[in-house]
Amino acid sequence: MELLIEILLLLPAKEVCRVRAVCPSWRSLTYDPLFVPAYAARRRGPLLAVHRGNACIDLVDVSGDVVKRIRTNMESHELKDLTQLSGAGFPVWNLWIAFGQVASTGEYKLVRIVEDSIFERVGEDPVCEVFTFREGTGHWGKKGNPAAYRGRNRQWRQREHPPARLDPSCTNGVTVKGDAYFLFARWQLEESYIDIFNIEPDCIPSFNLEMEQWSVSLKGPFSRILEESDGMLSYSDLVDRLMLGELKDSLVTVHCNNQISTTDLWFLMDFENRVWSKQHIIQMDIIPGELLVGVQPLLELDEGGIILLVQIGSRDVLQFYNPGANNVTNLLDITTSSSYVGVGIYTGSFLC
Amino acid sequence: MASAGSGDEKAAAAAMITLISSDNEKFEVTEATATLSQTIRHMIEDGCTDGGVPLPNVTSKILARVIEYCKKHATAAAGEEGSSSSFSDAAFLEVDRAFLEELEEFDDAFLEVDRATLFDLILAANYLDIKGLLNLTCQKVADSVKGKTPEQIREMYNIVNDLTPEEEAEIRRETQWAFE
Repeated sequence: MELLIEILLLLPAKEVCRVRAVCPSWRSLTYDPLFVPAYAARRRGPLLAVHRGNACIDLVDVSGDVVKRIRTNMESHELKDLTQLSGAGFPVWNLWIAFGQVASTGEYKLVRIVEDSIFERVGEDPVCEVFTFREGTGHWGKKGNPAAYRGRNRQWRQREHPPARLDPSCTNGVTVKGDAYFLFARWQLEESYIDIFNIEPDCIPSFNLEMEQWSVSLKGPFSRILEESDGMLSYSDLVDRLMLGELKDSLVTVHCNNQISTTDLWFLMDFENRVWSKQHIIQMDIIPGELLVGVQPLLELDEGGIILLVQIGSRDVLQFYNPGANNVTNLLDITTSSSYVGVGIYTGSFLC
Repeated sequence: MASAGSGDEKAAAAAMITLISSDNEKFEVTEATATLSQTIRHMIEDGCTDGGVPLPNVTSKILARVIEYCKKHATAAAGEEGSSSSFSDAAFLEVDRAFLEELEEFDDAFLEVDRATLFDLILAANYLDIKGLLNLTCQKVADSVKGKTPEQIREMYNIVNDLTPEEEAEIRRETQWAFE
């Protein structure tokens, strides 16, 4: 029996699930409380959860192989909410969202900022709401999914709206150590607009998940990006070209420079003193004529290297950046006919 | 110089271990070969190998194969250690690569056995605690299961299916993706 465990530990997850149908003793082995953690421990490296707008989620390992496909009985729009929570995705119109844990209480909170149809209600402030996931009510509460709460659930608590309009090209907030970071719409932050909002240039708005309050105390590296470009870039060149990410517990500002097809990753090294450091200049592999729409860093591997979600033209691709060789290789093309792609880090079991 | 050489040979001769199979066949192996087995290593450390090591769970047929594996891998390990000082880096890498390739070929050929022998080797590797051999043989079994249907696996390993059709259908439903 012990040796059968040894053998089953060597099988890929899909095979393990299949051999459950061989006989009852094999089946019970794969659910054994000793087997499941041992199996997880053998699987090196994290998994990415890729959702392409349909009713399943693919789990992809760091070499780009789909190791598992989870079918769910949720509607695809609900899944979209889910995957967007903890990962990266490309912009969703008029909805900004962030998900994270409050360190002091261990609670998970979801923040959304909704702008109701901007064309009809110009000048109306967006609505910022917070939802708390509490233990004991099931992960998504008794209705089983977050969408069931939309609009009519009392657990969404309205909070102060963000200090200025958020960037419509960067709708996934990034949570680092209990603060959810967003970007301001850049056109509002050119000097002529700053006075109106009483916000200093370079500010990065953040929403503290514990206090549920906005702050503009952090400054981004935007002026430095312009300075270092030696006049090649102006504020208008940064519109749609900036994104946020989180790597190894550090906030990262991503700058896609279309002029020279590079993506720069600026790491926030010292929060108190607002020290940013440009740690990676990634030369993107772009065919001339293609537009680099966006790059989001997903995961930095322990052995070095960063997994990126890259949108080139209308294609969405998972790519691996190797800092040693300074090259980028394709892992998996995840382009879909649906306009939505979301990627998160999967932390669940392999064997369900 | 000559006497120093023969002294070395004496030391090597002294480090021979006798392994005794379940059917009472005796096998003389060097300590380097025998200590690939953690079980035997511990016995040597405890000084209880005089008069031979009885292995009541391993037949002479299987023990001969296990020793064949250990000899090859012990030489490989010694070769790697010895060569590092006497070759330049490039030459060392070249030798290293050749060693590994040869070892891989050996392993592949070693695994060309019938299923019963393979299982006996797994049991022996487990009992003797030879990690490399255990991994090698278990991987072989795991590979043989890959891509097979439950029916094929049952047939291969003479497993009696005591799942009812309903239970089997339910398992298939649980993880439908695995059967696609």
